[in-house]
Amino acid sequence: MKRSSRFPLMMSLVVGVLVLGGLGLVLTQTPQGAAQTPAPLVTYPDFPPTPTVGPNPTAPAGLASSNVLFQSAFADTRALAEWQFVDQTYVIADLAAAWEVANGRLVQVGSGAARNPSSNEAAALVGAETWRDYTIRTSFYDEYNGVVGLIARYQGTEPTQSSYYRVRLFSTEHQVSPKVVLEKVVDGVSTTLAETKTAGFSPRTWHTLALSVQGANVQVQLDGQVLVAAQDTNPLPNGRAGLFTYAIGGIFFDDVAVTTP
Amino acid sequence: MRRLFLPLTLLALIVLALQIHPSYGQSGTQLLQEFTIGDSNSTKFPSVAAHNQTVYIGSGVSANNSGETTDAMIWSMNEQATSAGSRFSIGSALGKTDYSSVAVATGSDGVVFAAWSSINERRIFMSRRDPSSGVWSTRQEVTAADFPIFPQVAVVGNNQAFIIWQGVNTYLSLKIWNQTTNSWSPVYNTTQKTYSTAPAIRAGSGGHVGIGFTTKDLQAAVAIWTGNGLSTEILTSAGNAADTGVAVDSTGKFYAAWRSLGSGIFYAERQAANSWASAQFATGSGKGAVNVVVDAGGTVHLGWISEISGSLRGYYSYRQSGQSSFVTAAATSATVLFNSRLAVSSGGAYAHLVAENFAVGPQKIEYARFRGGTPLVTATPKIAGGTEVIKGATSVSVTFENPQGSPASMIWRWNAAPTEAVNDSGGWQSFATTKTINVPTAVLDAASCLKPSTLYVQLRNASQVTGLVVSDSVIFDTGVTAFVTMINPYSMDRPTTFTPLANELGDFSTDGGASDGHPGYTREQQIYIGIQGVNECGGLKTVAIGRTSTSFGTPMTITNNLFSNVQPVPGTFPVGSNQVWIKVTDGVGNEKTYNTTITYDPNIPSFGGGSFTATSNPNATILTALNFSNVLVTDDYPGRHFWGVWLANSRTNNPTNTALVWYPVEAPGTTNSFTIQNWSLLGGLKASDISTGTYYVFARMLDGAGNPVPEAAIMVATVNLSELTYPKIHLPIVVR
Repeated sequence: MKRSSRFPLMMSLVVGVLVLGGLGLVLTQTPQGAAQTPAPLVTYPDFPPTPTVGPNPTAPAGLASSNVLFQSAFADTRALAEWQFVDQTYVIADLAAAWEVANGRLVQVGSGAARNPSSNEAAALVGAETWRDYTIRTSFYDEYNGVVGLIARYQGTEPTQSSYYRVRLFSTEHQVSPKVVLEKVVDGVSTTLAETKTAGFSPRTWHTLALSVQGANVQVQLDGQVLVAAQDTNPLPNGRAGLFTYAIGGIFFDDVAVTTP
Repeated sequence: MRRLFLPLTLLALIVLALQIHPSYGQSGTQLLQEFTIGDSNSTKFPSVAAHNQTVYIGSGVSANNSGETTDAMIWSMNEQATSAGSRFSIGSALGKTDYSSVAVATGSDGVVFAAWSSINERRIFMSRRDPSSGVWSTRQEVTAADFPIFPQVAVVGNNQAFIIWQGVNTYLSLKIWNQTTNSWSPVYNTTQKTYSTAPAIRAGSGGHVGIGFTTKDLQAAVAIWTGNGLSTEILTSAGNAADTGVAVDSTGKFYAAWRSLGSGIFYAERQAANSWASAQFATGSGKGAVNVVVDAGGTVHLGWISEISGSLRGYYSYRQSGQSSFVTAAATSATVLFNSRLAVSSGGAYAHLVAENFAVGPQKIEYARFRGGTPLVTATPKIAGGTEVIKGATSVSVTFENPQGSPASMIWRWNAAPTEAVNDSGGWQSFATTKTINVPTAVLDAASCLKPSTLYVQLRNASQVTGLVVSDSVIFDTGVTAFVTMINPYSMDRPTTFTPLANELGDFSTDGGASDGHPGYTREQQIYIGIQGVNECGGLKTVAIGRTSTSFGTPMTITNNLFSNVQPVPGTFPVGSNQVWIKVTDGVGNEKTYNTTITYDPNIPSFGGGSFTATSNPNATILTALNFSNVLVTDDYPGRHFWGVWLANSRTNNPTNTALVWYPVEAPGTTNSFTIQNWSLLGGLKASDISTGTYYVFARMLDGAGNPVPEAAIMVATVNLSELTYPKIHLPIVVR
């Protein structure tokens, strides 16, 4: 009698274990629905998570002005219509610098439809050639591009033969010297007005950059601090303002404003 | 319940085991070395190739720091180097860096081809580094075109350089340089226009060539060389992909990889024409080329650049041959990298990735070396060039074909796999593609045609990575093995059918002698030679006849291991005892001499008397016993001076009848009186002659050479048969 009473118990346990095991298999081995995307074939090593892009900085008080010639917060893609995008070196059509508006920002996304990185000097111009004394200010956030700049008093239709003031500012992670170059380009030929080897900007954080042209005076500010300044004895008379970077992507701009004193 | 514990535990363990994912036993990869090549200013689209342990890097460089390319530069270094060493200009390359790039590729013998664009000259150039001298040739124009850019090169074998380039809004072009014929092919084009991003080209060891490129409408595409053109296969939908890498393995199977214009890296294997199985390979936003390489062992290597965690790094992963999954990728430490290229060395043990490093200004080449898969360190041994049977010798020449994985040393053993403790090589020896390998005496002693000897070889590379044991077998033919007969050409011991040698066959016409005799005698200046190969694996090849052990006549060919012929004996052949030699060779060069003593006796013996009687057997009257008494013969034949007797039957007493059929019979015994049993009275008679009555038996004595005594000495015996009876055979009664 004892033996016969144990048999149903043993069978129940065996069946129970098999059912639970089968359920476990189903839950762990079966794809979670037909629409599930297969996992990539390879995994990456562990890296710190992608840094979060914080809120845009507010404009420094010194740059505030009520005389706004232009401003854009890049609310949507219509903002692109206000800009002219030019490559300041010769490029073939497929490698022309590409710009997009995304997440309320103007993004440099490389070159061409394939968004390949290119070492082209890329500029985004705005305004009129009649603009004379003004400050162009922008917020920018650099992920990996390493180069940011501003342009003032831009004149010309052929990018490689135009005239303008330009400041180029390099990331602290970018192994180049000098870190800041303020230059005057006349008919495509550049002359350095001022430079500094020690400064630079830290990547993956918001900064504000401003380039002011007042008569013969040219001044650059980063985050409200003067980086370089120069006086041009033969100043360029007037022209459009613009943003500058390399067409390798990884940088975005926001809250661009052109103001007069 | 205690009795349930064990089965329940086992069941639970089984269920748990089923839920554990299999592990593939791959050890993974890691970054081994990384550095920036300092004198590579303004690089764009750098290239890398490898052969054995040497790595070649090519790039256009601004040698004067003007920001524009001035030179096509090459760096070469050991696969484990910690710096790139000095650069070497192979020619001018003038123009904007994006459009003045350099590509390099290696061939099977270490030849290196470089192709580059010099955009200010609107030309593609090529240079070749000779594998022997190490000298780069002066630049040679490949093409002049409107805007030729993004050249790439692959080498088929060691003498065909497949050079491709693109233009602006046009088709991809291919031109093939043949080093052997010193000539160019026509230009071949794809049927699809290209987008302006660098293509890729790879050649497999089987001569297959694939080109990965991006179509104008941004599709991943592979153009396959058909032998007389390019056949393009599209791998993605339009607007979806760019920077297609391609590879082809030794079997001709193609592989491709590309980056999605959305996000992710993709990988595909070609199943059949226009049929590719693809899958997402990795996440992240790819930048520039996605490189795929398949090494000789079938391990698939991928190198690419992707934006992960906000950084642009180079990545590398591989799938070991025979495995189903890729190892976790390893990354460069440098960031802001673009446009990578990948090569592997030492059979895939090391992967070398180069890219543009934009974290330095101006941008320079970033080099990263990763640990690759377990390499296939191997080569195919061919003993004596692959011959099946060779002459047994104390050493053999072994060639190693298609070496893979850069073997540097080798160990070997005959008839068993070598170990470091037991081998025939005296430990590890330096590797060479042609090696003289010793054959121990014991191996030769044990060799036979039925038992090939096998050489087992294990190779390893300079990094002490050991490959699988490879082998080749050969039959050592250590000597001529033949059954040889050198006898009286009239001996009945010889075959009646000769091997074809009619033009060399000696005179064998009837001369009045018997068709048998002592094997060691001859009445002609000829000898019968019979040779039959016995387990002769090399195959008997020739036989030559001589009178001494060192001097022989013209060799005669032996076919099918068989020789059977009567041959004149060369030189002076005096009456009496003579030595005759033959030299037999086989197909692998072994030779062996044989000799015999044969007595030349052309003289007729003389008869001095004797008689014989014929007594019929009562059980079979046609059989008789011939009893010879006191037969006296004078001859040089030793002993009783006769070898045998020539017998013939007749129904008439006419011993000189030319129609008689004479049969030579060796005389039994050693004395002058002897008996020949069971002589048939019907032998040689016509059917019409067979009846009761008197039968005559004639006997004529023979010497060793078959010379008969004169006709006058023919003896005769008679038998009178009243009835003819025949031998009976009594078979056993079989009862079922």
